[in-house]
Amino acid sequence: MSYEKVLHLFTKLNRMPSYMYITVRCVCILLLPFVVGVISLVGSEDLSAISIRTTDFAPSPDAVFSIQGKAEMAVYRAFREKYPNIYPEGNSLSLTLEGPAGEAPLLMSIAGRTAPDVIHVNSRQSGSYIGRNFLVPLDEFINAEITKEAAIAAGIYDENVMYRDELEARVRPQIWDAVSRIGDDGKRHFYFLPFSYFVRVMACNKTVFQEAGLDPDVDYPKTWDELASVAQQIQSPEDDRYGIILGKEGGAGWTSLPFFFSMGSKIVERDESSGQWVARFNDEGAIRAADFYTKLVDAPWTDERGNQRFGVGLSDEAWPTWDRGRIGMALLYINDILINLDDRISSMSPEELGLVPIPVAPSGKSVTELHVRGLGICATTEDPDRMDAAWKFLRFVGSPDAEGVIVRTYVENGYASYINPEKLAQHGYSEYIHTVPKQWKDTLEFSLENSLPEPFGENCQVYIERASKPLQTAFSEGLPRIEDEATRLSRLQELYDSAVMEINEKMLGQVPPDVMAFRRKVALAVMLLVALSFAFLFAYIWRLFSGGGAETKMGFQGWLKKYWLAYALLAPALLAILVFNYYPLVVGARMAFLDYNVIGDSSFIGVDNFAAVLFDSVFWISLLRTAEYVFWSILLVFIPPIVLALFLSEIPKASVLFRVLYYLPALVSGLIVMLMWKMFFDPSEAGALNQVLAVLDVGPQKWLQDKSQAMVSIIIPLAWAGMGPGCLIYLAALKTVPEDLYEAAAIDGSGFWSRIWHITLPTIRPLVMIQLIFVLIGAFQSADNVLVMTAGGPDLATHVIGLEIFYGAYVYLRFGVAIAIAWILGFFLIGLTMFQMKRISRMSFTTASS
Amino acid sequence: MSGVTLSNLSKTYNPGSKDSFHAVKGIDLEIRDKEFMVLVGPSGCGKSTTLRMIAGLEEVSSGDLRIGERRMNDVLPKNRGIAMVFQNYALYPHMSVADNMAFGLKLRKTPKSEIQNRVQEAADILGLTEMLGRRPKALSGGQRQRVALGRAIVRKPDVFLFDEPLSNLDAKMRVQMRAEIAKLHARLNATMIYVTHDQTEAMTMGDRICVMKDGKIMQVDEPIRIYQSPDNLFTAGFIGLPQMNFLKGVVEEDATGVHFVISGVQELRVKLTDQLSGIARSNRAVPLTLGIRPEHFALCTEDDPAAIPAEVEVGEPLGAESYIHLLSKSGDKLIVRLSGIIQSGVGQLLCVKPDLENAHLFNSETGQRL
Ligand SMILES: Nc1ncnc2c1ncn2[C@@H]1O[C@H](COP(=O)(O)OP(=O)(O)OP(=O)(O)O)[C@@H](O)[C@H]1O
Ligand SMILES: [Mg+2]
Repeated sequence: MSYEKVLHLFTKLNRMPSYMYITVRCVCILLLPFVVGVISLVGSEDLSAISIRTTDFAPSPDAVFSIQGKAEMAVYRAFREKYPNIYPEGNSLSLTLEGPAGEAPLLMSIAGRTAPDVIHVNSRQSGSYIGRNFLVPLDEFINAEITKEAAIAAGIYDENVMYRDELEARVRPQIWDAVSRIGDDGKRHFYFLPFSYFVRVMACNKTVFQEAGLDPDVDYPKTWDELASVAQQIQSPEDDRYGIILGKEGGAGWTSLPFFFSMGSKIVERDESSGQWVARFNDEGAIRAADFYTKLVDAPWTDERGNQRFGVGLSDEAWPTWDRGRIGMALLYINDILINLDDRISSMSPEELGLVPIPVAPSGKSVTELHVRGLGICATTEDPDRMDAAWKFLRFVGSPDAEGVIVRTYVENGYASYINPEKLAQHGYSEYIHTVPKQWKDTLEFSLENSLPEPFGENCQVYIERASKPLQTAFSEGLPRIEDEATRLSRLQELYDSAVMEINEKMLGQVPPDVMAFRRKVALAVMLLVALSFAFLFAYIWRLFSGGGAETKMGFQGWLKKYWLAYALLAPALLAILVFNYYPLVVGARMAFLDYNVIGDSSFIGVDNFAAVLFDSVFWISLLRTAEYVFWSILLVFIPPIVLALFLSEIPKASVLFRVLYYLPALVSGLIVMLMWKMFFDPSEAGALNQVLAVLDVGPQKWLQDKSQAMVSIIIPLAWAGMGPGCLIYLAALKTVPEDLYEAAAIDGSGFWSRIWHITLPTIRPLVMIQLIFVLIGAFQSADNVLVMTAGGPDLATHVIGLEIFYGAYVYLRFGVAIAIAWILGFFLIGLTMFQMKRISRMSFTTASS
Repeated sequence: MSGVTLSNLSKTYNPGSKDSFHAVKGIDLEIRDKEFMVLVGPSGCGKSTTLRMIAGLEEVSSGDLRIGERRMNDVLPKNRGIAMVFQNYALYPHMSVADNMAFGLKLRKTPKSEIQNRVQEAADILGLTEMLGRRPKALSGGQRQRVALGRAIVRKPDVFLFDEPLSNLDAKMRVQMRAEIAKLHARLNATMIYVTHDQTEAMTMGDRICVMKDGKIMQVDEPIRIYQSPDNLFTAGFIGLPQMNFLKGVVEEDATGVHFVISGVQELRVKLTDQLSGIARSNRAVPLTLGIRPEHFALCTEDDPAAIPAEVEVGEPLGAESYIHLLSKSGDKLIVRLSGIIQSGVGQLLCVKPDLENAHLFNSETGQRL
């Protein structure tokens, strides 16, 4: 609701000139949390009724379209029945972003204190959420020490409290550490409660198995070796048949997780002595797992017919191929209630779909990944009544009662044969148990037992992103194609060692003290340079605009008398600029030196934020990407309108038509332009641009998903939308060039090019320079369009510095670091700004002709 | 040899469209080599159009344009051997004075030293040496026009074209520049075509004057001859300040001789001289106009046979001479110039007689001088 209004405002803003609208939009993004906050404050409340907002289990318009939505609605109704005075409401943070940025809207709303009371938490996020104090410890609602019976016996029983037995029923042992943390007081504090579990298993397409001459019920892979050989047997591109689907790019780290777990790698572990989280995925098991995984993807082998092949599957863009039933195996989630809940398998019958555990590793173990969906109470909920209502809600939605409602919904909708038999028995549907495929049941049971949660240390979001890097490097180096195992393993070891070091540094902030001391020195120097540059800039601008001492003789009295009205009229604008531009700047400057927490205390950490930035490779990559972005912006956004305007001004006829044609795109608002082009860039053959290419006999391109094309693809929509408005500005300027200048030049002997070069361009040069600076500054700061288009991917190919700031602040929640980057970015723009200021100070805002 | 010959030259703007406009209607004009030809005429008569056709800035619609021996209709401006000075100077604002002058030479790949010599020379002639490094913005109007002249000079064109080059300057500057251009003509010995609507410029500068009206040439001749014997009413009225006086009437002959009867409120009879009588007699049937320049009047007595009685409307004694605006009994307005100071009160009755030796008779209908 309120958020959409703000979005609507955004679209309106888009009709402004691009540079203006980018600034306004940035301001709006910054203001967004406040606006939403104010709007929600205004909403009045019924005294007896308590409404809470929640990310899950709230009524939503599209709930009816999925069985999961129906089940959630049933739970919602059951809750309302039980607690008629509590009104859970949805949270329309419907902005969807790519990849890790997907969590950003929630984080932004937390920062702006407009977050829902009940928020979705998974184990990967839990570390950061808890570390950043986003979640209320559920101390007053959970008593893990004694059982309900013991409480009754001791006479301290409270209905509103969850005791040990209920807790144990709900929280699987392996995630006990994820939902709770041992606090400084030495006690265990719980922060969120699961309501749903998923485990990853091996899904097998039985039809494909049979086609390859395998019996799916017997020949499914039980060990890693079998996995490789079965996949080889299935893999036959000639028959449009592929072994297995495996992530190759940014998703590789996540796809391969079960292999690492099975080899006993802990990935991320809490160091018992220091209590710190440490990345550990460079142990021997991990290297073996990585070797196996990379070999699956790209190892050379020869098939029966003697064809040289590499790898036994397709990478993760191939899901459409899975969907049309041409891939043998895939690692997919199954649900602990409705086993085939996942879209990729929900339409497959037990005759088609085999579900088997992750093959056993050479270590003799099969350990898969357990994904937990849970809910916690957001720390922005301070009112005790709301807190209590929120607790009742999150306790209820994962309770046996709710589970019963869910099971009933599934059964009533005809899903009985796909439900976890254990749950069927528990909720009185034993008659269906025999209809559930035994293989599914066994796999679910086994996998739930033999699984570990995703890493849940602080900043573990970064893990998913970074853990793919060594794999990607291995692929690009062709490592799996090397025959000598020792060579492969030692190279992998190197890659993983450095990845672990980087993660420990970036994610967990662990740097040896001597290295840190050095970094602090460098950071201090850089920081001082930045500060000095800014001081210099301000002095420069001051000198530029304070036009000499004519008034000094007047004295303050005379000055006041003469100018009081002017200054009085100026005051509101000045005040607004002070409050909205300079106050945040000053506050922001301070934040660069804090380990800033949105909720709770922030500690002063000196120049450590700058140190973290300067010694982070991603920062330097983002600088490089920004340079690329700027380059393409100049080439595609800045130059074409000039060229177009020059040509249009030369065309004697129909130029109005051309002007209209070129201006039309500008009428489409910014966000829509982005989304529209994102559709055009659809990498499949059905994509609009690919269809155009097909006409020209060019094969489909991957556009935004191709590392080498992504950056250009991001700029193209900007070029498209900016062409008309940019061109119009120049056309207007060209009209001011006196005709007789051209005539004089013609008599002097100017041809077409010489005329443009010597007459036209010089006359519009001031405008060209100003536009150039606007484009440059806009390009340096751009983040929003990149976020919408690629969110920095693929593999950081479009990870510009503006986006790094966004990620730092809203994804990794390292506001201090983000601000430090912003200051450094500002530093790069100082030169440009000075130039621009100089131009503006020299402009006299008249139309002068010779 | 670089005279300019226009034969049946026509210009139609936007031919075939609704707002097509026939600006120049088949003119013939021969401008001799090294001649200073002035094109004058009222606003909109097609002077600029003619000049711009010569320059190649407008396409010729029909007819022939020759410079020297060469037909130039379809030759690019830069290849016509011309240079043009514009009313608004048209200096390149972002180039220095020197660069402005050198621009055309640079485009022609003239050697650097040559360019420098020519620019220096032109600057010396025009007194611009001090200003060579400045931008046009930092110059006065007169200086800018001098730069524009310089730009034309360095090119050493066969034909200079000027389109009202002085009209943006103040009166004093105009007089000064007029002299300078005249000197320049003498010095450079080039053909010059000069468009103006200022007849003083036309009279003082031109070897010959071409008077235009509505896209046609009314008369081409030396300034004095245009003044003394205008071919038609238009030229007669256009050249000369104050204007020639025109009196409409018919010819009557009686025993006393041939009379020009001024028709109007009250018929006035002016006895013609023998020379005019002859002309008048052969045009008895047509309505005529008698043209007399203001200086060709004298005071007379009422009984003079050529006396025109009139009432004083305004008297302008200027010292050496006086202009007196009169309203004749026939109802015609007259301006007469008399030498010395003539004191006259408004409404006072005055008798003037035209100097018929210097009067002209025109056919009122065709406008042609008889
Ligand atoms: N580009 C054009 N399109 C249509 N008509 C034009 C164009 N240029 C000039 N004319 C018309 O042609 C006629 C002659 O114009 P021209 O500029 O030659 O007049 P001029 O004698 O130079 O007058 P002035 O003394 O005012 O400069 C004018 O009536 C003018 O309106
Ligand atoms: Mg003109």
